[in-house]
Amino acid sequence: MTFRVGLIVNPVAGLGGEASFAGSDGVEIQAAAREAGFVSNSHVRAGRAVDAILARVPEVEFFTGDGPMGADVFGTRDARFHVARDTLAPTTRDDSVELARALEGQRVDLLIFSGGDGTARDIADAIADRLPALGIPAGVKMHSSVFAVTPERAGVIVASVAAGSAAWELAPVIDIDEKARRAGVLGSRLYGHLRVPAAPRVARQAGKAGSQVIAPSVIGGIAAELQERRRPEDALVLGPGTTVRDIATSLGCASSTLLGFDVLMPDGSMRTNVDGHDLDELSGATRCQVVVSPIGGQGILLGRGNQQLNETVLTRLDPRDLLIISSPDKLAQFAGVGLLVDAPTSELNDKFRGVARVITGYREETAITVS
Amino acid sequence: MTMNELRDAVSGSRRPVERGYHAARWNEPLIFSLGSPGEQGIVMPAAGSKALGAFEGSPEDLIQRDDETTLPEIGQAQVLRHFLRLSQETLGADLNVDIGQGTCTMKYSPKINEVFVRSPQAAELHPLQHPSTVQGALQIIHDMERYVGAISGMDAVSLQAGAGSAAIWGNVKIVQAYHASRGESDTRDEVITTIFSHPSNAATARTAGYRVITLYPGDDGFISRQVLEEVLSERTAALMITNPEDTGIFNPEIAEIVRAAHDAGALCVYDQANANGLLGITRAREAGFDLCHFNLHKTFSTPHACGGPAAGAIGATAALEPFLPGYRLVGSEQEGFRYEARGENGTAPLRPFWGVMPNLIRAYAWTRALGAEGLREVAEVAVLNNNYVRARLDDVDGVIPAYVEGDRIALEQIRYSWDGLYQDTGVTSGELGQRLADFGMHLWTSHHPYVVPNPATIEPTESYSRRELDEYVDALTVVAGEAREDPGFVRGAPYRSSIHRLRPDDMTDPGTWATSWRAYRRKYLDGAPKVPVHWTPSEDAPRRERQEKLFHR
Repeated sequence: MTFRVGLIVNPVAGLGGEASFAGSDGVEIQAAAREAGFVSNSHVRAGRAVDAILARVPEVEFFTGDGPMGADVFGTRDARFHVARDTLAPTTRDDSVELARALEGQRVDLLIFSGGDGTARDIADAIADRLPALGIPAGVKMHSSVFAVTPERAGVIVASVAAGSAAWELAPVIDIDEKARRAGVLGSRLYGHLRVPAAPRVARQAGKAGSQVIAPSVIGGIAAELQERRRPEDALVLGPGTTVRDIATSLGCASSTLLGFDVLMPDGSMRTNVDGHDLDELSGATRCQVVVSPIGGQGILLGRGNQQLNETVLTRLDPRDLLIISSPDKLAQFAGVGLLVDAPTSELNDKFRGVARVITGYREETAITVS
Repeated sequence: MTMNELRDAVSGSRRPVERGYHAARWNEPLIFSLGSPGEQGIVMPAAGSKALGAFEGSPEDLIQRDDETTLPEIGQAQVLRHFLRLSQETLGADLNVDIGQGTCTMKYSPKINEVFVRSPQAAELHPLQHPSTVQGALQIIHDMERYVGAISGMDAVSLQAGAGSAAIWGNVKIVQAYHASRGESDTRDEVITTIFSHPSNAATARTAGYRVITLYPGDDGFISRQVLEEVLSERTAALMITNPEDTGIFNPEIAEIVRAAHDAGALCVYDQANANGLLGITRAREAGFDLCHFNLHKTFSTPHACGGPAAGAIGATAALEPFLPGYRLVGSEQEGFRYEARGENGTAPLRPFWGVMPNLIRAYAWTRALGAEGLREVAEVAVLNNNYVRARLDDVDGVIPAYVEGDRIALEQIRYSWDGLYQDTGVTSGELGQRLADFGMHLWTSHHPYVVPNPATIEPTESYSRRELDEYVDALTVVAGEAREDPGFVRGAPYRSSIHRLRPDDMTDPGTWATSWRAYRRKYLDGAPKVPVHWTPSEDAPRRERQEKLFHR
């Protein structure tokens, strides 16, 4: 029996990431991102997942939407696919819901979707836990535990399901109120559940958005260490998250963008809430050191909440200039599996994989694997 | 004995004792509030003028107090009653089945050894006595050094440390002195340790100025040799590691790990706090370690005594012997024992004089009473008891031994995870411990940060009877059941303890804590106690970078 995979591509997923909009919900946000010259990578990521599936299960049969919602991915690929539903541009979330229902009608064995939490919500609305599902991470927010860590890993998981693995678990679909988030207020809600493969690397338990309070002594220690590591003649790029924000204050920065990137320039001035294009320009003009912290409960270092670190920036960045910081308590939860990366390309994933030394205090580091 | 045979033994019938435990509760005031002016414990006859005159100008006269003490005025019976009541409120190692204090090795401290410690020959020793008058004490130290050497395989031993952490500090200073002697102080400024090693490993290294790199375990609970090799470099001064770690599983690659560190030019320091399952079975020497230490109050039975006094032993290879702290004990029974200076490479003493003598006597007596065969039996029984408790806990839902799946054998302790129960009920392992106090028992979780979620570390040692192990597990089983029935009840515990809850903040803020009556008066009463005179160094003394002393007193 051929294995039947349903594929839904959310063509606007991820738009708001590099653009520093913290999400892509809403027509205005999507238009603004496009106008600023940003594009969605959803197709590219879906394509990587499809390649990983085809490499392992060549005889798989795909069922998908037309054009931007799926068929475009198969344009240059040697794969069997059927369009289950036509759409009219511009597509909306209703199209995702309807396509999911159509794929359910086609009795696919597994439904994979390329997008973020918003897309996961749409899928859950359509099929609840009736059909097994798996997310290809392509959105801005991916707090739900329904996503594979990388598109390639999604392919590996699909292949193991095709080979007969039948262990499932109900994974929560969580989303964040984007408007509140842009105003600096973090809070997430449970929207439902999807039935996902219970493979070890599907995703971590989604942690609560926002980290616990970190002791001032820990902040002070990490800040002191960063002061010593910093090359004053280069730019210091500060990533998102509460840990980095607390450090920024300790470093003397007047303000800090909780959910975005700031840059401490060599002349001492601050540039706030920079986007992917800004970082392109900056990294072309000067050497950069980038401070990041593993995001939320998932331990993903690149590709979650920090898509402003795009392909260009990461290609130029020396891995030794990626300064990873964390409190020891927060890092402890990632023992065993280590940290993960989902960079824009799989070559960049390989570049940043290995053993990382996370700064956990003044002259204190923790060695942890990044895979 | 295989795990299956052990499981069969477990399911034999036994009746748990219903104790109806309730701790004594006295709400006892401070002794300074008891007593009354003029009340005296002992009536001293007044000295006559002739006697007083004889003391004029004498050393005793010079140190006589000018003003009254602020000691309480209180009678003997009242003193006795007061401290007895406080002791009744203490859930101590003599009183309860203390296997829940994992990593501390809460074994029986044989009371017979107190007879030796309290005898005048021990109690009236003074470290400045002429060596010819303390040959017995020196022989005890000498022989104990040999025993630790035999147990560890190391060439030289120092018994000077007053605690395990002091011994670890001593080892760090030896590492530092060794690299300094080779002109590599500046280049070798990093120490590697693991998250499951005692925090004192990282802390002493940091205090000595090293950059500390902590390794996390992989999924199997072991640090990975590949990760270690990535982190080792020409900057590494030492690898500080424990084996088995606090998870109780022995890393079979330890010799390769030591070799990798040696290849990078680093020394290997073995924290043997967890030696209780290894005695007579495996040694630091064969694994290639350069330095090791033991906690005499853990493995060697000296009392834990609420954080001290303790004693630590350092073991070193012959190459590192010149760097040991303080003086070297030399001689023999025939020619006599004495201390001599160790030489210019010796590191600073870890404390004044020779060691915590009462604890060295206790450890010596314990070791001699057991002998080599007995020590081996200690290890075997400790491992057996640990696996018995594990087999019984296999029957309890919601708890698993971390990293010990199926037939993998842990040694002398196990770090359990109660995360299953937590996911089902919301009750944490810490809260289980609070409720366990209502049964007269103690449960310790783990050092922070918690790598194993909802941890609880149990180390039965060789000292408890099967009946006692059963009683502990029975109580834990009851509490786990209560957590499922009525989580709120468990989380509100303890109900039968001497006090209900401590506020941790009160005990962790130097601004609010008072560790002495003087500090309490200064911070909370209006008394303006004298600030004790502090020695100020002369102008030309070397300037030491040091934090402003936290002024507790």
